Amino acid sequence: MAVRVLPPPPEPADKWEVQLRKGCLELAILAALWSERLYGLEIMRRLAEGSGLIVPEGTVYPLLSRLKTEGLLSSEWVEADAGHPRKYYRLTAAGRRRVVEMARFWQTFSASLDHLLAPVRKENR
Amino acid sequence: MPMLMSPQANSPQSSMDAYLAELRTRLRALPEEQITDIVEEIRSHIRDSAGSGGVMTEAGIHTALSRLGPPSALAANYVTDNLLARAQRTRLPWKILRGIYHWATLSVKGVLVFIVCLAGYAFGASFFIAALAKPFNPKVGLWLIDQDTFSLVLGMTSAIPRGHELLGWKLIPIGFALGGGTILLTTYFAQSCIRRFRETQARRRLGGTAQ
Repeated sequence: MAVRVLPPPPEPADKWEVQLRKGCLELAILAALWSERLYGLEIMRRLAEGSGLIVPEGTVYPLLSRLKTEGLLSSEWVEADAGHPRKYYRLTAAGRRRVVEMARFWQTFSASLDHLLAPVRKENR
Repeated sequence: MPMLMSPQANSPQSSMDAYLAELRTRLRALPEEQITDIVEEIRSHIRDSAGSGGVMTEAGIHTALSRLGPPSALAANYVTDNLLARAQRTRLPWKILRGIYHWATLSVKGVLVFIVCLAGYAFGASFFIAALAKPFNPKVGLWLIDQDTFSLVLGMTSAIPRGHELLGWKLIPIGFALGGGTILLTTYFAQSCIRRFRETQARRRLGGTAQ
Protein backbone atom coordinates (compact mmCIF):
# COMPACT_ATOMS: atom_id res chain seq x y z
CA MET A 1 0.00 0.00 0.00
CA ALA A 2 1.49 3.29 -1.01
CA VAL A 3 1.67 5.83 1.73
CA ARG A 4 1.30 9.30 0.47
CA VAL A 5 2.94 11.95 2.57
CA LEU A 6 0.74 14.97 2.80
CA PRO A 7 2.44 18.33 2.65
CA PRO A 8 2.43 20.13 5.99
CA PRO A 9 -0.41 22.62 6.41
CA PRO A 10 0.62 26.13 5.39
CA GLU A 11 1.96 28.14 8.31
CA PRO A 12 0.28 31.47 8.98
CA ALA A 13 2.28 34.23 7.32
CA ASP A 14 4.14 35.03 10.49
CA LYS A 15 2.91 33.59 13.73
CA TRP A 16 4.71 36.12 15.88
CA GLU A 17 3.26 39.01 13.96
CA VAL A 18 -0.25 37.58 14.23
CA GLN A 19 0.13 37.07 17.98
CA LEU A 20 1.40 40.57 18.42
CA ARG A 21 -1.50 42.10 16.52
CA LYS A 22 -3.98 40.04 18.48
CA GLY A 23 -2.41 41.04 21.74
CA CYS A 24 -2.88 44.68 20.84
CA LEU A 25 -6.49 44.27 19.70
CA GLU A 26 -8.06 45.11 23.03
CA LEU A 27 -5.98 48.26 23.40
CA ALA A 28 -6.73 49.24 19.79
CA ILE A 29 -10.49 48.87 20.26
CA LEU A 30 -10.52 50.83 23.52
CA ALA A 31 -8.32 53.52 22.00
CA ALA A 32 -10.56 53.83 18.92
CA LEU A 33 -13.44 54.68 21.27
CA TRP A 34 -11.50 57.33 23.21
CA SER A 35 -13.09 60.40 21.67
CA GLU A 36 -16.45 59.20 20.34
CA ARG A 37 -19.00 56.41 20.36
CA LEU A 38 -18.83 54.00 17.42
CA TYR A 39 -20.71 50.89 16.23
CA GLY A 40 -19.03 47.56 15.47
CA LEU A 41 -18.41 48.01 11.75
CA GLU A 42 -17.07 51.53 12.32
CA ILE A 43 -14.66 50.23 14.93
CA MET A 44 -13.34 47.62 12.48
CA ARG A 45 -12.95 50.23 9.74
CA ARG A 46 -11.18 52.54 12.17
CA LEU A 47 -8.73 49.78 13.10
CA ALA A 48 -8.06 48.87 9.48
CA GLU A 49 -7.43 52.52 8.48
CA GLY A 50 -5.57 53.62 11.56
CA SER A 51 -3.34 50.68 12.30
CA GLY A 52 -3.66 48.09 9.54
CA LEU A 53 -5.30 45.77 12.08
CA ILE A 54 -7.61 43.70 9.93
CA VAL A 55 -9.65 41.61 12.28
CA PRO A 56 -12.41 39.14 11.43
CA GLU A 57 -15.93 40.09 12.51
CA GLY A 58 -16.31 36.76 14.28
CA THR A 59 -13.61 37.90 16.71
CA VAL A 60 -14.51 41.56 17.17
CA TYR A 61 -18.18 41.22 18.14
CA PRO A 62 -17.64 38.65 20.90
CA LEU A 63 -14.69 40.72 22.14
CA LEU A 64 -16.89 43.83 22.31
CA SER A 65 -19.41 41.81 24.27
CA ARG A 66 -16.69 40.66 26.67
CA LEU A 67 -15.40 44.21 27.19
CA LYS A 68 -18.95 45.21 27.98
CA THR A 69 -19.38 42.36 30.48
CA GLU A 70 -16.14 43.48 32.10
CA GLY A 71 -17.58 46.95 32.52
CA LEU A 72 -15.08 48.70 30.24
CA LEU A 73 -17.66 49.56 27.58
CA SER A 74 -21.32 50.45 27.61
CA SER A 75 -23.65 50.21 24.62
CA GLU A 76 -26.82 51.82 23.34
CA TRP A 77 -29.11 51.28 20.37
CA VAL A 78 -29.49 54.28 18.11
CA GLU A 79 -31.94 54.67 15.21
CA ALA A 80 -29.86 55.46 12.13
CA ASP A 81 -30.58 57.01 8.74
CA ALA A 82 -29.78 53.61 7.22
CA GLY A 83 -33.28 52.50 8.23
CA HIS A 84 -32.21 50.10 10.95
CA PRO A 85 -30.84 50.68 14.45
CA ARG A 86 -27.16 50.37 15.25
CA LYS A 87 -25.51 49.39 18.49
CA TYR A 88 -23.03 52.03 19.58
CA TYR A 89 -20.29 51.45 22.10
CA ARG A 90 -18.64 53.99 24.35
CA LEU A 91 -15.98 53.81 27.08
CA THR A 92 -17.14 53.73 30.68
CA ALA A 93 -15.16 55.50 33.40
CA ALA A 94 -13.44 52.17 34.15
CA GLY A 95 -12.73 51.78 30.43
CA ARG A 96 -11.09 55.20 30.25
CA ARG A 97 -8.89 54.37 33.24
CA ARG A 98 -7.94 51.09 31.62
CA VAL A 99 -6.88 52.74 28.31
CA VAL A 100 -4.78 55.28 30.19
CA GLU A 101 -3.03 52.47 32.08
CA MET A 102 -2.51 50.45 28.90
CA ALA A 103 -1.23 53.48 26.99
CA ARG A 104 1.22 54.25 29.77
CA PHE A 105 2.51 50.69 29.79
CA TRP A 106 2.73 50.65 26.00
CA GLN A 107 4.79 53.85 26.05
CA THR A 108 7.35 52.51 28.51
CA PHE A 109 7.48 49.11 26.88
CA SER A 110 7.90 50.32 23.30
CA ALA A 111 10.52 52.87 24.36
CA SER A 112 12.67 50.24 26.04
CA LEU A 113 12.26 47.84 23.12
CA ASP A 114 13.23 50.63 20.72
CA HIS A 115 16.33 51.17 22.78
CA LEU A 116 17.26 47.49 22.42
CA LEU A 117 16.54 47.54 18.70
CA ALA A 118 18.62 50.62 17.95
CA PRO A 119 21.86 48.70 17.13
CA VAL A 120 19.93 46.21 14.96
CA ARG A 121 18.42 49.02 12.93
CA LYS A 122 21.76 50.80 12.64
CA GLU A 123 23.48 47.80 11.06
CA ASN A 124 20.64 46.95 8.68
CA ARG A 125 19.90 50.35 7.32
CA MET B 1 -38.61 25.80 9.64
CA PRO B 2 -41.35 26.53 7.06
CA MET B 3 -39.58 29.64 5.84
CA LEU B 4 -36.88 27.52 4.26
CA MET B 5 -39.49 25.62 2.20
CA SER B 6 -40.91 28.76 0.60
CA PRO B 7 -40.20 29.64 -3.04
CA GLN B 8 -37.83 32.40 -1.92
CA ALA B 9 -35.72 29.88 -0.05
CA ASN B 10 -32.62 31.12 -1.79
CA SER B 11 -33.34 34.81 -1.56
CA PRO B 12 -30.60 36.79 0.18
CA GLN B 13 -32.96 37.88 2.95
CA SER B 14 -33.78 34.30 3.86
CA SER B 15 -30.18 33.17 3.99
CA MET B 16 -29.59 35.99 6.49
CA ASP B 17 -32.67 34.97 8.49
CA ALA B 18 -31.57 31.33 8.52
CA TYR B 19 -28.11 32.36 9.74
CA LEU B 20 -29.57 34.48 12.53
CA ALA B 21 -32.04 31.77 13.56
CA GLU B 22 -29.20 29.27 13.83
CA LEU B 23 -27.14 31.80 15.81
CA ARG B 24 -30.04 32.38 18.20
CA THR B 25 -30.39 28.64 18.84
CA ARG B 26 -26.69 28.24 19.52
CA LEU B 27 -26.68 31.15 21.99
CA ARG B 28 -29.41 29.62 24.16
CA ALA B 29 -27.13 29.23 27.21
CA LEU B 30 -27.12 33.03 27.62
CA PRO B 31 -29.87 35.17 29.15
CA GLU B 32 -32.68 35.93 26.68
CA GLU B 33 -32.08 39.68 26.78
CA GLN B 34 -28.45 39.21 25.82
CA ILE B 35 -29.32 36.78 23.01
CA THR B 36 -31.66 39.31 21.39
CA ASP B 37 -29.05 42.02 21.77
CA ILE B 38 -26.39 39.91 20.02
CA VAL B 39 -28.67 38.69 17.22
CA GLU B 40 -29.91 42.22 16.49
CA GLU B 41 -26.35 43.55 16.46
CA ILE B 42 -25.27 40.90 13.95
CA ARG B 43 -28.37 41.63 11.84
CA SER B 44 -27.49 45.30 11.84
CA HIS B 45 -23.91 44.43 10.90
CA ILE B 46 -25.01 42.27 7.95
CA ARG B 47 -27.34 45.02 6.70
CA ASP B 48 -24.55 47.57 6.91
CA SER B 49 -21.89 45.49 5.26
CA ALA B 50 -23.96 43.62 2.67
CA GLY B 51 -25.29 46.51 0.69
CA SER B 52 -25.03 50.09 -0.30
CA GLY B 53 -27.75 52.69 0.07
CA GLY B 54 -29.94 50.35 2.10
CA VAL B 55 -30.29 47.69 -0.61
CA MET B 56 -28.68 44.36 0.14
CA THR B 57 -27.27 42.32 -2.67
CA GLU B 58 -27.06 38.54 -2.70
CA ALA B 59 -23.29 38.60 -3.17
CA GLY B 60 -23.00 41.16 -0.38
CA ILE B 61 -24.88 38.97 2.06
CA HIS B 62 -22.91 35.93 1.03
CA THR B 63 -19.62 37.74 1.69
CA ALA B 64 -20.84 39.18 5.00
CA LEU B 65 -21.99 35.78 6.24
CA SER B 66 -18.80 34.01 5.24
CA ARG B 67 -16.72 36.71 6.95
CA LEU B 68 -18.69 36.17 10.14
CA GLY B 69 -17.91 32.47 10.00
CA PRO B 70 -20.30 29.60 10.78
CA PRO B 71 -23.02 30.53 13.33
CA SER B 72 -21.88 27.71 15.61
CA ALA B 73 -18.33 29.10 15.81
CA LEU B 74 -19.54 32.67 16.29
CA ALA B 75 -21.92 31.56 19.06
CA ALA B 76 -19.18 29.55 20.78
CA ASN B 77 -17.01 32.69 20.85
CA TYR B 78 -19.76 34.45 22.75
CA VAL B 79 -21.08 31.74 25.01
CA THR B 80 -18.11 30.03 26.58
CA ASP B 81 -16.19 33.17 27.26
CA ASN B 82 -19.26 34.97 28.54
CA LEU B 83 -20.23 32.29 31.03
CA LEU B 84 -16.64 31.80 32.15
CA ALA B 85 -16.14 35.55 32.51
CA ARG B 86 -19.16 35.63 34.83
CA ALA B 87 -17.86 32.58 36.70
CA GLN B 88 -14.52 34.29 37.14
CA ARG B 89 -16.02 37.38 38.72
CA THR B 90 -18.60 35.78 40.97
CA ARG B 91 -18.24 34.02 44.32
CA LEU B 92 -21.46 32.08 43.88
CA PRO B 93 -20.78 28.34 43.52
CA TRP B 94 -23.74 27.65 41.19
CA LYS B 95 -22.67 30.37 38.76
CA ILE B 96 -19.14 29.01 38.81
CA LEU B 97 -20.43 25.49 38.19
CA ARG B 98 -22.66 26.73 35.37
CA GLY B 99 -19.68 28.26 33.59
CA ILE B 100 -17.55 25.18 34.07
CA TYR B 101 -20.43 22.97 32.95
CA HIS B 102 -20.37 24.76 29.62
CA TRP B 103 -16.61 24.41 29.42
CA ALA B 104 -17.09 20.67 30.11
CA THR B 105 -19.17 20.38 26.93
CA LEU B 106 -16.12 21.56 25.00
CA SER B 107 -13.17 19.64 26.41
CA VAL B 108 -12.07 16.76 28.60
CA LYS B 109 -10.16 19.16 30.81
CA GLY B 110 -13.42 20.99 31.44
CA VAL B 111 -15.07 17.71 32.47
CA LEU B 112 -12.28 17.00 34.96
CA VAL B 113 -12.43 20.48 36.46
CA PHE B 114 -16.22 20.18 36.68
CA ILE B 115 -16.02 16.87 38.55
CA VAL B 116 -13.39 18.14 40.99
CA CYS B 117 -15.37 21.31 41.69
CA LEU B 118 -18.67 19.49 42.08
CA ALA B 119 -17.06 17.09 44.57
CA GLY B 120 -15.37 19.98 46.40
CA TYR B 121 -18.60 21.95 46.77
CA ALA B 122 -20.57 18.85 47.80
CA PHE B 123 -17.99 17.96 50.47
CA GLY B 124 -17.78 21.53 51.75
CA ALA B 125 -21.55 22.01 51.77
CA SER B 126 -22.10 18.73 53.72
CA PHE B 127 -19.89 19.84 56.59
CA PHE B 128 -21.29 23.34 56.53
CA ILE B 129 -24.87 22.05 56.68
CA ALA B 130 -23.94 19.56 59.42
CA ALA B 131 -22.52 22.38 61.54
CA LEU B 132 -25.71 24.42 61.00
CA ALA B 133 -28.00 21.50 61.87
CA LYS B 134 -26.13 20.20 64.93
CA PRO B 135 -27.83 22.52 67.48
CA PHE B 136 -31.27 21.28 66.32
CA ASN B 137 -30.59 17.58 66.04
CA PRO B 138 -28.05 15.70 68.14
CA LYS B 139 -27.98 12.80 65.63
CA VAL B 140 -26.17 15.08 63.22
CA GLY B 141 -22.48 14.36 63.33
CA LEU B 142 -19.57 12.39 62.03
CA TRP B 143 -20.19 8.78 62.99
CA LEU B 144 -17.66 5.98 63.08
CA ILE B 145 -19.78 3.00 62.05
CA ASP B 146 -17.23 0.17 61.86
CA GLN B 147 -13.52 0.04 62.30
CA ASP B 148 -12.98 2.27 59.27
CA THR B 149 -16.35 3.34 57.89
CA PHE B 150 -17.20 6.97 58.48
CA SER B 151 -20.60 8.42 57.90
CA LEU B 152 -21.57 12.06 58.04
CA VAL B 153 -25.16 12.12 59.28
CA LEU B 154 -26.97 15.30 58.32
CA GLY B 155 -30.17 14.67 60.25
CA MET B 156 -32.26 13.22 57.43
CA THR B 157 -32.35 9.78 58.99
CA SER B 158 -34.82 8.73 61.69
CA ALA B 159 -32.78 5.74 62.81
CA ILE B 160 -30.09 6.34 65.37
CA PRO B 161 -26.84 5.38 63.66
CA ARG B 162 -24.81 2.51 65.05
CA GLY B 163 -21.29 3.20 66.23
CA HIS B 164 -20.37 6.38 68.00
CA GLU B 165 -20.20 10.02 67.11
CA LEU B 166 -16.69 11.38 66.92
CA LEU B 167 -16.80 15.13 67.25
CA GLY B 168 -19.72 16.01 69.50
CA TRP B 169 -20.30 19.74 69.80
CA LYS B 170 -16.90 20.38 68.29
CA LEU B 171 -18.63 19.55 64.98
CA ILE B 172 -19.93 23.11 64.90
CA PRO B 173 -16.60 24.97 64.72
CA ILE B 174 -14.92 22.16 62.78
CA GLY B 175 -17.83 21.89 60.32
CA PHE B 176 -17.88 25.62 59.62
CA ALA B 177 -14.11 25.78 59.24
CA LEU B 178 -13.76 22.63 57.14
CA GLY B 179 -16.89 23.28 55.07
CA GLY B 180 -16.15 26.96 54.51
CA GLY B 181 -12.49 26.24 53.84
CA THR B 182 -13.27 23.56 51.26
CA ILE B 183 -15.78 25.82 49.52
CA LEU B 184 -13.28 28.69 49.38
CA LEU B 185 -10.51 26.38 48.20
CA THR B 186 -12.76 24.93 45.48
CA THR B 187 -13.70 28.44 44.35
CA TYR B 188 -10.05 29.43 44.24
CA PHE B 189 -9.17 26.29 42.27
CA ALA B 190 -12.09 26.76 39.83
CA GLN B 191 -11.25 30.38 39.15
CA SER B 192 -7.57 29.77 38.60
CA CYS B 193 -8.44 26.95 36.12
CA ILE B 194 -10.92 29.24 34.37
CA ARG B 195 -8.40 32.07 34.19
CA ARG B 196 -5.77 29.81 32.65
CA PHE B 197 -8.26 28.34 30.17
CA ARG B 198 -9.45 31.78 29.08
CA GLU B 199 -5.89 32.95 28.54
CA THR B 200 -5.16 29.93 26.37
CA GLN B 201 -8.36 30.53 24.40
CA ALA B 202 -7.50 34.18 23.87
CA ARG B 203 -4.07 33.20 22.57
CA ARG B 204 -5.58 30.57 20.28
CA ARG B 205 -8.08 33.04 18.88
CA LEU B 206 -5.24 35.43 18.15
CA GLY B 207 -3.13 32.84 16.40
CA GLY B 208 -5.95 31.04 14.66
CA THR B 209 -8.16 33.60 13.02
CA ALA B 210 -6.12 36.65 12.06
CA GLN B 211 -4.18 36.11 8.90
